[in-house]
Amino acid sequence: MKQLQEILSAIGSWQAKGYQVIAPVRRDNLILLARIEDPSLINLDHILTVNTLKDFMLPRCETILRFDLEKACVEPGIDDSLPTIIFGSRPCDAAALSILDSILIGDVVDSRYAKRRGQTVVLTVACSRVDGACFCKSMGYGPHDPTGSDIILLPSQGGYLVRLISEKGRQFASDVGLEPDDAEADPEPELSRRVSTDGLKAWLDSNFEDPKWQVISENCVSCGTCYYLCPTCHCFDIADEAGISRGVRLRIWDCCSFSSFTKMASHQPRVGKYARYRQRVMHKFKYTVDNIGKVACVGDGRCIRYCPYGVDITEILKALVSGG
Amino acid sequence: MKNEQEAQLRRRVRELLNRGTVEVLLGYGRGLTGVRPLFVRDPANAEKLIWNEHCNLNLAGYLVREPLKQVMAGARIGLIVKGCDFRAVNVLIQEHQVERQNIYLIGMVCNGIESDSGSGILIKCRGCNVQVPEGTDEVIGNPQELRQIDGDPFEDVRAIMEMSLPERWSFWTSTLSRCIKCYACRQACPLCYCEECITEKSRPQWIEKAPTLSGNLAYHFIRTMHLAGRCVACGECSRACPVDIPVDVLTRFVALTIKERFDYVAGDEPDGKPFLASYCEDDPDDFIK
Repeated sequence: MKQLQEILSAIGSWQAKGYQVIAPVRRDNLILLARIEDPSLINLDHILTVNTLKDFMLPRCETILRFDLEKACVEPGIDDSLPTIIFGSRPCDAAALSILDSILIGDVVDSRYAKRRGQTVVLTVACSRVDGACFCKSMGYGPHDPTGSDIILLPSQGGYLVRLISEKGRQFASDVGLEPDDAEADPEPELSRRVSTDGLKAWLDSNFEDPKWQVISENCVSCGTCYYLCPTCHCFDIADEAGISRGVRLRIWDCCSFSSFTKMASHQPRVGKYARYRQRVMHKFKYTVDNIGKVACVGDGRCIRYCPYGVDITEILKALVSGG
Repeated sequence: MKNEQEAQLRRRVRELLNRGTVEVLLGYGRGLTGVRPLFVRDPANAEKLIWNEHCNLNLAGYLVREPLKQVMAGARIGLIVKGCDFRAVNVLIQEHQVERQNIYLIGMVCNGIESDSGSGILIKCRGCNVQVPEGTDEVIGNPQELRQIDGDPFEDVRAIMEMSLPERWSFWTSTLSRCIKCYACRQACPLCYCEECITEKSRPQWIEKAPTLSGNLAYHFIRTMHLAGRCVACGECSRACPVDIPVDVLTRFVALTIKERFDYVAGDEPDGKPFLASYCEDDPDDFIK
C-alpha cells in the first residue's frame, strides 16, 4: 500500500521523463481536469471533475488545417499531442474512453484521436465516495471498475493499492518504478441510484414514434450542457474561420439538441425538441449498441448533476420502458 | 412549520385544472439537486407542486419554448411567477412574443430566495419591491408575513466595476476562457428567444464559432448587448452555467447603467414600452459629444 503523498511526489519525475500530466485541480469553485505543472496542486477530494477525458482526447476545438489563398497553400494543423499521463480521473471516465476507442478507432480511424490515445496512460484513482447522481453500477461498471484504465489505484485503509491493468500500464509502471500491490482493497461504496436497462433496447427498437418522447423531454431547454459534459458524446462540427485570404478549418464539439445541428449537410432533420432529445437517448442506448455492442453511457451522472432544469436520464429510461 | 402557501397553491391549481381554466400549468417540483420545473396537466398531480425559499428558477422562458409555445396557440396555460419573474413575462408581452390573455399567472408572495450554497438570501433579491406581485391573475401568500430585504442588488456588479481595467480584463479573460459554448446561458434566458441565434448563422458566419477566448468574448458581448434594456436580472444564465461563469454580471451591468441613467427597469410595467423603443425629451444626452 502507498500513501497518496508518495505517489504525488513521484509525479515530478514522470514530468521530467517528458510526460505532460493531466490531473484534477481547483479553479475558483470548480474541480477541473487540467494540465498541471505543480503536482502539489492536485486535488483528489472530489466525486467527479466537471470536465471529462474527452477534453484531452477529442478537444472542444482543434485546427485541422490552415489555408492561404494568396500563397495557394493548405497545411495540416500542428500536431501538438504529447506523451500524457492522466492522473486521478475516475473509473467512469476511463470506461468512457474505452467506448470512444471502439467508435473512433473502429472501421474508420480518427487519426488525431488515435494518436493522442496511443500516447496516453490512464492512471485512475478509484472512488471512495459517490453521490446521488452516480449510477455506474447500472451501466455495468462500478466505483472500482478497471475498464479503460491502464493502472488503477484502489483505496485501502487511507492509502492506495496499485493495480496494473493493461500492457501499456505495466510498461509505464516498470519505466517509472511503480510497484503493484495485491492486498485487498476497501469495499466499493454503495450506490443509491439504480436503473435497469432490461427491455430498454427492445423498446427503443420498436418505439421511435411514441407520445412518451414529448413528455420526457418537457423540461429540456435544448442547451448543450449534458452533451458537452458527457464523457462519451463525441459529435463535432467542422467550421472554417477565415479572413479575406487566410484561415483555419476547425473541428468543434457539436450537439444534437441544437436546432442548427447537421445543417452543414443541408438541414436539421429533427424538428421539435422532443425529436432532438430522442436522438440523444437513441444514440446512447440503441444506435451505439447496434454499432459496437455497448451502450454509450457510463453512469457518471454529470447530465443529471449539471442539467439546469432537472432532466434526469435514469428517470427517463424508467419512464420509457414502464407500462409499454 | 406548515407551508400554508404551498397548500393553498396546490388547492388553487387543482381547481384551475378541474374547471378547465388552464390546460396545463408550469410550476416548481422536486428534483435531485433541488427545485426543477414541473408541468401539471392532471389535477391529481397538483400535489407534486412545491413552493419554498429555494424556488429560484424563472420559468418565464418556457413560454417561448416547446411545448408551451404550441399549447398557447390554442389554449390558456398557467404559470407560477414571483414578482421578479413577472418582469420577464412583461418583456415578452411588450415584445409581442406572448399574449397576456393566453397565460393565467399565479403570483407568489415571496420572502426572498435562499442561495443553494447556504450563503443566505440571493443578491438579486436585495431591495426587492415586488415581493407581492401586482398585476397577476391571482396572488397566493400573506403579505402580512413579509419582511423587507435590504441591501444592494448590484453589489457583485459594482465589485467587478471597481477593479482596475487590467484586473477586470484578466478576470473576464480567465473566466470566459472556461466557456465551452454549451449555450446553457442562452437557452436558460427567458428573453433569448431568437429562432436562429447570430452565433449559429453560418452563411455568412458573423462571429467565431470556436469556443476559444476570442470566440467566447464575441458570443458573450453580443449576447450582453442584445439584452440591453431587456435583461430582468433573474440570474438564470449564471445559474445554468456548468462552469460557473458569472455571465449575469455582464447583462446586469447594462441593466444597472440603464437604471441609473434613465430610471428604467425592464418589465416593471405590464403595459410599458421596451426600453429601446421608448423616448423621452428629458432623457440624459451628456454622452453625446
